[in-house]
Amino acid sequence: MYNRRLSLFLIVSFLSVPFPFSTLAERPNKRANQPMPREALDLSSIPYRIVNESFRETKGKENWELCIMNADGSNQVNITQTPDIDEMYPHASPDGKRICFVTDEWRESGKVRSVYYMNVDGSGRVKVSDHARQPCWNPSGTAIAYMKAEFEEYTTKDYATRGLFIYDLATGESRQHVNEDLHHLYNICWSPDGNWFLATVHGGMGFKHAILTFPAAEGTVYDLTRFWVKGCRPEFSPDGKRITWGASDHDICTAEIDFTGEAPTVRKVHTLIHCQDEWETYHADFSPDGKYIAFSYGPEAEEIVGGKAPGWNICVADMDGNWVQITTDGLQNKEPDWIPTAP
Amino acid sequence: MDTDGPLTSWDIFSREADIYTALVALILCFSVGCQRKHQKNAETPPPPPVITTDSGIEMVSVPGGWLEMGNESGELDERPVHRAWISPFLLDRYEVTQESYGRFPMPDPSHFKSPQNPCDQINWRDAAEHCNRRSQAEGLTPCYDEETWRCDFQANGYRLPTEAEWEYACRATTKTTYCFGDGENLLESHAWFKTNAGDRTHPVGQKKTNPWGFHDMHGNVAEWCNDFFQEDYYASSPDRDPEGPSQGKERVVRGGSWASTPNACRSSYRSGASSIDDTCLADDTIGFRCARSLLEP
Repeated sequence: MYNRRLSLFLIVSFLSVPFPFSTLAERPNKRANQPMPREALDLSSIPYRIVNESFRETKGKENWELCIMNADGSNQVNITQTPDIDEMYPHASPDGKRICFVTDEWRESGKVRSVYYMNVDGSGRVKVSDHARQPCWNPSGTAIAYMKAEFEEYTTKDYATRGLFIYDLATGESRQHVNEDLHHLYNICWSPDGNWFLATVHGGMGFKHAILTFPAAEGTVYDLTRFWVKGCRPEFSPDGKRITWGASDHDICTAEIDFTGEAPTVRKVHTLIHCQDEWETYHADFSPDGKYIAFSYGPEAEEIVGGKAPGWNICVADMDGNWVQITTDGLQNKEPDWIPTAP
Repeated sequence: MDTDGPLTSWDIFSREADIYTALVALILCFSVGCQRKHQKNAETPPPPPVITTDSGIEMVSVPGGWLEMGNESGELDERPVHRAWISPFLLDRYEVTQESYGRFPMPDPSHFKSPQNPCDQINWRDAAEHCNRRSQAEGLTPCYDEETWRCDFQANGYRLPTEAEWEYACRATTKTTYCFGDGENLLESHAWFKTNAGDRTHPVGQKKTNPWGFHDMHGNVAEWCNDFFQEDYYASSPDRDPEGPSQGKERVVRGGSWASTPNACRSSYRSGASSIDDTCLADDTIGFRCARSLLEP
């Protein structure tokens, strides 16, 4: 009943949205609902790398580690190698020299999720905050935004957050965003011009579930639902003029976003990837040149940070919707993030 | 009968007969009255007892009994009607409120925020996790394995009701369309649904109870059950404490919600929902209430 009702709601919403699709040609691309043969895309010349989380054996023990590889999946290296600490949710700094991420560690008081950053080779680990999650970089790489955990007790629930904080790498101090009501947000993403955030909200701030955008220095919040931007885990393109997000378990969308008017607007919503029903796609991220999107793909599983996802791999798509798997080990590979530098 | 002359034997007999008649009439009236009262009690036995848990939650102690499950004139998935023995169990008298959910460190996913409103927009796994947290808070053994999310029905902690337990509790021995009869005209006094809810949830316990004292079984939020949903499950359902199919992609949701039509509020109406562990897919028409097996010592 609820699926039928949801479908009807989606159809009615689609019909009532004021021209979200500019032309019929931009409607969902259903060309490939599963990965194309590996040779369908030549990724070997892409001068960037990808970092992702992976559940794999290190020193005889399986846990979450961060791995870096070339854009075609070659030369994969485990950069953390810490069998007693789980590292997840990596995000590369704009200059490609550092990575911020979350850890799950056992302390005397129990399991704690924290935010750290380190050099891209895994050295020089610095703690940003305990009881924190969902970090991302500012465009200059001098600050990390993160969400504080709603509770000190450990949970993997992505929306268990309250308060957005900005950590200054130079001083080691954090300050709270001017809008102190920000809560139940996850997957925050800082715009390349530094002026805006994108995030998903769930059951908070007066919203049911929505993708929001809000200024980095003001309290206003804008709901992008009316532009048919529905789902979760939005990310900016490197020029800040496009966004990508997961519209469902099976769809990755892109659209143009415009911040030049009185309020942000979105147009040209486009389904870039649609996978078969028994499989899922999540965690889309634009390449530094905006020509590709990396994402995770695998059989139905838990996409949340720390959620088990056996059989998941990292894929890369071009902007025509052609996509290939770049990992094949199925070691719960998730949360890919492009590193804008060559090895 | 009045007379000025001396009383004859007939007069005395006549007066005594009147007294006897009156006495017999009184005895008959008393007897019939008692019989009627007794018959009324037989039709509506007292509701089962309500207990208050260590967490301060009211639960109805549901007696064991046979359930005529399903509805031959309902949807296809409600057939065939079949008998199932339901062992005694405890079930929350009210849907789990946001205040109650918030006693444990879990983020409240509800869309319609208000402490006494039912928790809504919750996925199945979070509902099951709440059951475990509530068990731990009362020193009981959690029913759910948090890796596999299988339910141990022999554990003494809290869990989601089975679909059969839910319908048994909703019907409360009735065999009618709703727990109060067949007519939709009384639904507004028993449930928050599409016609009267104003597109949102409401504080629990504002509508009339069913015969066993449960509130909001027909509306406010629909409720997660433990079972996987399978349309044709009734054809093969066991006749003792059915626990649902061993696997599936959806879990059972029972009872109407603030968005339901009267048809979807029926006691036997079945549906499944796929928001088992996915935040994005959670539905603000779905909440839950907790159950607990009454295990033999």
